[in-house]
Amino acid sequence: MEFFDCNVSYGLDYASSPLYPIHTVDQVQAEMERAGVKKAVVWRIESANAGPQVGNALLAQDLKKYDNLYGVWAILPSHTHEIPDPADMLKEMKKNRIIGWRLCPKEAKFMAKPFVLRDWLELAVLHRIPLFIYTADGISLEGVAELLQAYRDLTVILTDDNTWPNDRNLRPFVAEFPNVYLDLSYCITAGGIESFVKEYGASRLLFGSRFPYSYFGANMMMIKHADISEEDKAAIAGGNMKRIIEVMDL
Amino acid sequence: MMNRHSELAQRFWEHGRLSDCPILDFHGHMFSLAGAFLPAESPEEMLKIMDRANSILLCFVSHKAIMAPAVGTAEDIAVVKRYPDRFKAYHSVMSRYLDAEKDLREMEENPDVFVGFKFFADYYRVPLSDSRHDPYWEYADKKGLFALVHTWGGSPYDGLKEAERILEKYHNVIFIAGHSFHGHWEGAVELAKRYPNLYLELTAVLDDRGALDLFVDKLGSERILFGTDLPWFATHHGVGAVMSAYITDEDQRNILYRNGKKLLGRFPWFEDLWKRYGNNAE
Repeated sequence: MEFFDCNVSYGLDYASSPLYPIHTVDQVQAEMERAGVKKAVVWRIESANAGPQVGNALLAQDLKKYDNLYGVWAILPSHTHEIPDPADMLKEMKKNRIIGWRLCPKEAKFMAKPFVLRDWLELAVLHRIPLFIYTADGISLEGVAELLQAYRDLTVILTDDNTWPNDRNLRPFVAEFPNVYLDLSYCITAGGIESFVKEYGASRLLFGSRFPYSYFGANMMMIKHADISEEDKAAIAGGNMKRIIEVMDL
Repeated sequence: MMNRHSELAQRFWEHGRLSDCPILDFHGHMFSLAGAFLPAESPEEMLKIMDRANSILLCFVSHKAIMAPAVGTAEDIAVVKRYPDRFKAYHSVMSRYLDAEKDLREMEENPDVFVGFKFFADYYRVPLSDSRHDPYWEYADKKGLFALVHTWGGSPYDGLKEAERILEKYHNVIFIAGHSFHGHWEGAVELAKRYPNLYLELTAVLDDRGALDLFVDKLGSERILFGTDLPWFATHHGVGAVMSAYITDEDQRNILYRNGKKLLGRFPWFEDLWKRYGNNAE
């Protein structure tokens, strides 16, 4: 079983810090080796709190060192032309092993509405580029629903931090929209994986740790010893994330 | 492998349960909850989850007993009587609907059911030191029982200051700080250093990387108790977090069962239970 974490961040946060912060990609790599995590989707904190122009560049530089890491860039409304325009973005992503976009409307101060992000969302659907949406970044579940109602084929990797346990909110997204995946970072309910898989199968769940704010090993242990088939465990641990990347068309 | 530096973690990772590392869980609930879907809310489903991790005993108070005054503790008592080796209960202290005479009588009548009380001051918005709680603290202190207290950093009802008001007065009750004064980790450690009858409990702590590492570094591992909030959080998630921290295998064992074993030894029923399920774990 290969663990491919869909939710790892690092960097220097000027505003706050976890108890034991992880500042560099080398530290991320060392901790992944300690835990036995083979691959990860990583995000630099600066992409939100210092802006995409800064954080995205730092991340691209870091990724040159480790080919088991895949990056996520923050995006902004294209109207202000502060980051590569959608038309140029795919080339930059391919060059820098970037496999998705993250919306940070709270820090970047924009409305994450379909009409604001139309060109990005059309591109995302066309090329099956996942949007990593974390509700703590300033987009509510209602906001996510609005985006998906406008673009129902959008690939969304959803991390919700508002309520635990949260199946009453999250399961309808999975039932309604074919390409919504749940990051397990906050989905740690007893029997939660078993119950979900019985109802919806294993293809819509992704191992995420939220490292460095949580331990890698907590959700790894939960998945490895869930009462589901080995095949389903492998899909959740890493197979589903791998498939999402494979079907992208850059 | 989860933690390549820990032999215990690697064995647990491989098997998912270890006979030489049983788990004593000090913070559980049961039955349905208004605010969330809990797929494993029944005692039978909880037992399945406990068995998969070799969690041999859960001390709990049901959601009904803390949130439905009209229902009370009757169902908790029934569950413990049905599964006396696997569940023990905290008697709820429903601060807005107290009947101390009745509650203490239930405690007296069910010594093999209850290990102490559960205080939920934040939810009831009644401070721990409110005089209405006095009979409960006095009883627990006199008998050396447990008080599992929902504690949260900064709370005017069950934060550090309120806890200290109790700890200054009662030295015999085992004050189990559920959630370890969440977020006020340093304060929790300092309070525990001052009061030897205060134990830090790990429910909703273990999703925050670093808090446990800090506790063990600054307080040691002998005053920390494992808890999951079962059926809220998966037992394997909690164990995985403990075994991911930068602490030793001996620390892990202290937290998962040794500290709990010492405390539970005060109850006459525990020796037999430990003989049957504890597998003589050292």
